[in-house]
Amino acid sequence: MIKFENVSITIDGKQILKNITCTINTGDFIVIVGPNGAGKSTLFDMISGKRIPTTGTILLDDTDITHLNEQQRATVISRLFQNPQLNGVASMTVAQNLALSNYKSKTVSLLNGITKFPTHLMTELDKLNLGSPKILNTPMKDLSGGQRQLLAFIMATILPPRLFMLDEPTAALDPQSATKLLQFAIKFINEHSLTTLLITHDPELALAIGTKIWVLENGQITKQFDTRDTVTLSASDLIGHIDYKKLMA
Amino acid sequence: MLSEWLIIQGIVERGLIFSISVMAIYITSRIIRFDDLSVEGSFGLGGALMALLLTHNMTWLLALALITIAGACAGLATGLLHTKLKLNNLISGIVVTTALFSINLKIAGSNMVLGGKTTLFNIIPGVINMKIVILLPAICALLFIIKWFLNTECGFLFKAVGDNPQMLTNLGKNAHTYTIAALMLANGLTALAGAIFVQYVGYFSIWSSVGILIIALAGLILSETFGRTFGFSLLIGAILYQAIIAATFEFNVDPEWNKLITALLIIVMIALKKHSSIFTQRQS
Repeated sequence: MIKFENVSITIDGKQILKNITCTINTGDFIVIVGPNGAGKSTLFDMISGKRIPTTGTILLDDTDITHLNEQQRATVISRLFQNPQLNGVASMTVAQNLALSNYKSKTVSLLNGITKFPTHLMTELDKLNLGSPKILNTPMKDLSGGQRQLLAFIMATILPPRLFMLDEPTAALDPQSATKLLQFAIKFINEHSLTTLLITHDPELALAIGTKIWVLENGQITKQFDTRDTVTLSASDLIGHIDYKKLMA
Repeated sequence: MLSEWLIIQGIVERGLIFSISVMAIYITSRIIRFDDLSVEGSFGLGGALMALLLTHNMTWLLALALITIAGACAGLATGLLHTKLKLNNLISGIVVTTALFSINLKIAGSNMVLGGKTTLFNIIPGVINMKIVILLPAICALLFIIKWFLNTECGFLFKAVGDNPQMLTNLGKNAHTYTIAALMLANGLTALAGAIFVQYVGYFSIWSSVGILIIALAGLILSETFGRTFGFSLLIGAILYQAIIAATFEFNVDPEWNKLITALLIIVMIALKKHSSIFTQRQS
């Protein structure tokens, strides 16, 4: 369980997050929606430890982690970035990236770098058409955006984290790749009961997946919904949606 | 015929020594992607210390070990300035190189002759005029060791820190630690090159380290026409550079133009790489 008590973040004199008090329970799948500039990414930066709160306290199972940095929190928190560049090492091959991701929470040695390749994931990789020798020996930068995000997901969850954060993981993907990633991700998250936070701009997606929805506006969580509410909610109740038919009328 | 062989031998020997600096530049600019100017000072530090230690009767092997550590300390200083004081890459390197220039002067003055001290090149009797016999296996061994290291788990993290430091943070590793470690390795290597060079020529000159960075860079850029991975291409690039400089002697070009020729060579190589298919970048 992660608790935020009156947490604020001020950057260059501007308060980006304002007195946020909320709780993420174990097993929660919370979808965070909000307009641009609402503070969604800053919220993720604060949870991951990239930004330390200006005021307030963050508790992980009653342990104060407010002042732990990103590297220290990485042992329990995994984050999938919107930008595929941040999720892997572009110049290294897929196999090398997979081995690298398995260094998490382990001491590194002078053994061959590929030694920690996660062979137990081969079945999963084969199912996703990512397990062929050709793909495994391809540099990450030569894969499609969809393939990179799928691999990034696998790499981020190689050791199932206590909290998994997905920052608009499908934003740069075409609908087919986005669907493939979401299908895989949701199945994996449900099977492992991962405590998950997902940022999206897509209100339809927010209504379709997850157990809770938080609406972040102007640095504050202004609305919270759970699965019971989603039955009666519409996309426009969240952050609004584009009605393309009306647009063309 | 003999004189031609001696010229070629000299080119290869010098190329092999400078290839250590090329390996160092490869580590900083191609692996961790940190434009490190402190290698210029580290080369001089290696030379100055070698001259001082040999003239104080230290054995060359112990001196080489200590000098490599001293060079690593220069890399540590650059790394700390960058990671702790948040100085820009270039400024960190310039600060360290500037400081080392004074330190090197204090260590060995502007010139120091080794005299008849026993050096690396005396280990095989009678080999004094065939330094290539020692240099070639030694440099190849060094190349293999570094190549092996870069394929270890630590080496993978060096590659990762240059490409995506966030990846190390994601793994719970400190990206700064690996940046500093790579800078220490690179500067340790350059100091080693400086120390070997002083033994090769038999004296230390404070001016011998000036322009080392650009010489190493020229060697690196030339090497990339043969391959972009860490390997023998680095040796070939360094030797080729020495051959180009030697050719200018053949054309009676005043040696004072050497640095300008090197600078022009780098510009031409980069321009050719951008505009000619014969220099198409090879994938590692």
